[in-house]
Amino acid sequence: MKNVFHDITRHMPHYLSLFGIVGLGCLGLIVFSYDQGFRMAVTVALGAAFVAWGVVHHWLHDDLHFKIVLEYLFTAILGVIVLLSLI
Amino acid sequence: MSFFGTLVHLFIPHSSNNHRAKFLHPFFVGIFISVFVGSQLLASFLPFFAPIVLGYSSKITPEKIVELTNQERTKSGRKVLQMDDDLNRAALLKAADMFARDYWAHNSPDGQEPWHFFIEADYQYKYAGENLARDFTKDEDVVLAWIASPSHKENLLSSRYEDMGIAVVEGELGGIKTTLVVQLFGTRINLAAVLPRVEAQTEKSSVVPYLNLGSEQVAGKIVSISPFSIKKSLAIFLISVFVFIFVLDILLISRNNVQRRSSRSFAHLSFLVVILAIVLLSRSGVIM
Repeated sequence: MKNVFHDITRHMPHYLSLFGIVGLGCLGLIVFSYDQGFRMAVTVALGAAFVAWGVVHHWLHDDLHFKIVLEYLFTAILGVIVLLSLI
Repeated sequence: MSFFGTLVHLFIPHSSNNHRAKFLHPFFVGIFISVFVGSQLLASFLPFFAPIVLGYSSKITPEKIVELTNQERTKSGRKVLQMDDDLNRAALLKAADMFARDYWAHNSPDGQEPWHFFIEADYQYKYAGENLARDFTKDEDVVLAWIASPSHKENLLSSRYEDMGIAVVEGELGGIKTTLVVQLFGTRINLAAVLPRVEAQTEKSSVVPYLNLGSEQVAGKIVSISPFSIKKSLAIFLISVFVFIFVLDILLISRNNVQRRSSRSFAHLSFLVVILAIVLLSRSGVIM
């Protein structure tokens, strides 16, 4: 676990922005719970923001690779599809 | 490869899978996504293969909706609304029309506005409003959803309205058994002329605007399953599997001090945990 904590503390501003992204996504889904269209838009935006976070994080870390982008993209698609199925 | 070896290869970071569980590789995530989408489609065809009715069983009653609406109005310092039999009839007509013509909207497919049903039920309105809800299981959730939406809340708490009509009708919409709630608000155009009639109606308001348009066979041995519950269970299972694999990945990679070029498992885990929390908190029901 030491490595994980080391990585998080080393990239604290990055992870804080990630928590901000997912936090804003949650807030959007709660506040606009009555608007189906807006919830769909928030869900897609949440997935896109997650991929963008991954790309920027690895680009700043100098280890951006196509396979890494795909990993973020597929996790985002998984999350978005699951949420859209319930909206 | 032995069975245990296969499990390790699929779930645990190991030299055989380039130190990343095979299930976390984009190709396998893509397969999981396809299986999830396929199972959702399959679930909608379930009634063709098994004696199952897809539908939402609800415990919603018109009386409780009226009570909760008036509670909200009292909390906001508004006058309590009177149940009006003509408005109840208009609400029933609207709900029956939606089931008969298989639509879910304020305006019918041919552009007929909700106010048409007010006139058809002999309610000459000065002000009129409509709130709709479907697929809810509890009365409280319906009123809470309306309160959360600014436009529905405005209807619910408006001081312009004096009467309310409610219809809770069970039937089949788009092949799925559901309960529609139609809430109508209004103020009669000539209040002075109508006042004695309103008083008479308050005594008659024991009329329960509840209808079941569902077929008789539903009450038999056929099992009714909520489509939302099926989707939610599948979603919880799928996301939980990935959360579990990412936790294993973080623990083992950290313990074995493996250096690899890959995305951040902690970021994936954070994202999926939030998705799981949203899924767990989600409830069925749509308002319009």
